[in-house]
Amino acid sequence: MKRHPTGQPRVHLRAVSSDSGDSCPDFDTLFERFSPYVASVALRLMGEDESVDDLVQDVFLDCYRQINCLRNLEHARRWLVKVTVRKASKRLRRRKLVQFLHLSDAGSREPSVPLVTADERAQLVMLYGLLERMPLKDRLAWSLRYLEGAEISEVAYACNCSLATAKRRIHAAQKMIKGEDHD
Amino acid sequence: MTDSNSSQQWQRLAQKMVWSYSGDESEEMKNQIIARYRAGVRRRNASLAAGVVILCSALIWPLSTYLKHDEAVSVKADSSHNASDAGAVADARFGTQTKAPDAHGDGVSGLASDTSPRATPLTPGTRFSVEEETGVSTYRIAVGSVRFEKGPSVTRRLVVHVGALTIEDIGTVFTVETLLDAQVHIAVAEGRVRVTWPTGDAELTEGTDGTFPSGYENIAPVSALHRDGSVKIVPDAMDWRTLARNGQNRQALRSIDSDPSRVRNQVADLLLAADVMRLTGNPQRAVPYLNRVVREFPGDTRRPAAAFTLGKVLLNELGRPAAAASMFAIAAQKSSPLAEEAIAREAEAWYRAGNFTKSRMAARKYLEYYPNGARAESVRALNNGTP
Repeated sequence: MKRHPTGQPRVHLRAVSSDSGDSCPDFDTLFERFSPYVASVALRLMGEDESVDDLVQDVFLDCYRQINCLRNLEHARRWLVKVTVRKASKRLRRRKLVQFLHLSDAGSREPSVPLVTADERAQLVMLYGLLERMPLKDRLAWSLRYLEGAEISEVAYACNCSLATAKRRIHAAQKMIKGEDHD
Repeated sequence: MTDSNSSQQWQRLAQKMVWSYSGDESEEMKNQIIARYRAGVRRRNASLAAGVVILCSALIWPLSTYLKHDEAVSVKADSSHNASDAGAVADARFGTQTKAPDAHGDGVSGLASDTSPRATPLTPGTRFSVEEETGVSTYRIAVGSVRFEKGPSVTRRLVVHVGALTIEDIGTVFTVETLLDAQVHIAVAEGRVRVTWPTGDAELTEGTDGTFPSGYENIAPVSALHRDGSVKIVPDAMDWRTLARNGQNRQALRSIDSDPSRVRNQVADLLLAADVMRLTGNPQRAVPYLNRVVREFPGDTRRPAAAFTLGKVLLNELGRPAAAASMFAIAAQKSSPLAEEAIAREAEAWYRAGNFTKSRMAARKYLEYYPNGARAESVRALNNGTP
């Protein structure tokens, strides 16, 4: 049997759905329940609100297509985060390319968070400035761990990597942020 | 800042980065997602349909090409001849309709396909050849069953040969079928046909039918056809005539060369042998056969056509315009459907032979009989000495 990078055996979702005892959630329920959550994760991963709506739509479009594969709400939540990470990764990679080609102004982007103070806003700008400069995979793993507060196993699942790799990425990102902090 | 402090600080800050949707926004977004999904499905279905169509086309096209090649009428005129050359033999396999060749390039008066009779093979494997000449369509049936239709708009004469049997229509619809024992069955649906064979003739009227001798021992009956359309004829029985009618002219030539006496002194044999020679690139060897038809069968209806063909061979292929002009003069009998073209060619041949007096005489004759003929303009130029 093919094994998932996290070490868990990959089984067909349909095959275990009956064992879990939960029924497959419908799309409306999933959207009502998780769209703000997915949007918030997307906002934290991307660091800007311009593409959040599009990203949420892309994630739930995938969800609509594969609704039958989702076993229960918890599984759906983890799966939605995973898809959000994948979609955010694509967008960030594209954004980096655009910046590299000087087709877009890198400095114009900053998180528009209404509830934070000016000091907190400055910290966020600094943080996302740092994150922009670090490798994408490290950034996503760190963001999930420290901005989203996800467990390492959840980070590994969402980033589609092993636990060790997830830890290594988080560590590398943390080291870079600490270094900048000390400077 | 320690690791845990730092983490907690970022996490606390991040908790303020929240996003939510109002009820309307949520509903609108859901609708957009579903619309996008449906559009995607439509796109995918369209792509799938297009793919299936392309795949089917890719599969069907070679198949239909193969079937067409095998079944539809394919006119294989000798490449050294224009397809519209009088007497040019075309090989027609099982198909639905023959097509008169476009003759403008050769100067033959315009032959539109809708003026040609319609020949419909009724059994798979039916083999027949067609000669398109000015004013006459000549079919030679090797094997099988063919229905002929000559509507009122068809101006061409229709002549069908099965072995030594000749069938001439008089405005009609009729079916010709090869039978066992070298017999040919003819059924007339409309109009009348005249049937002639070496020892007699008969006329069939509407609603009648008859069985006639083909004159050839090796005419394959329809019952000899395999289900797949191939003909059950053992190789020994395939004489040069069958080979020639099947378009295997080179083999027919070899057969004649191995025993020239195989070509009987009959008009059909002589014309077929001449065609074999012409189509295998031996026009000089066609001359004796055509000459025999012209000299030894003065009363035969095919004599003018033989003379015309000989004239063309002499003029175009052997560079003997004077001799060609004499042949065109023979072909230009007033009753012949080739008369108009023959007179025009006679004028042209005399001109090329340097005999301008005879050229002008022929040209005047043409202009007298056919002042509005298809070749009137070019003949007028010959008459004026400025071709």
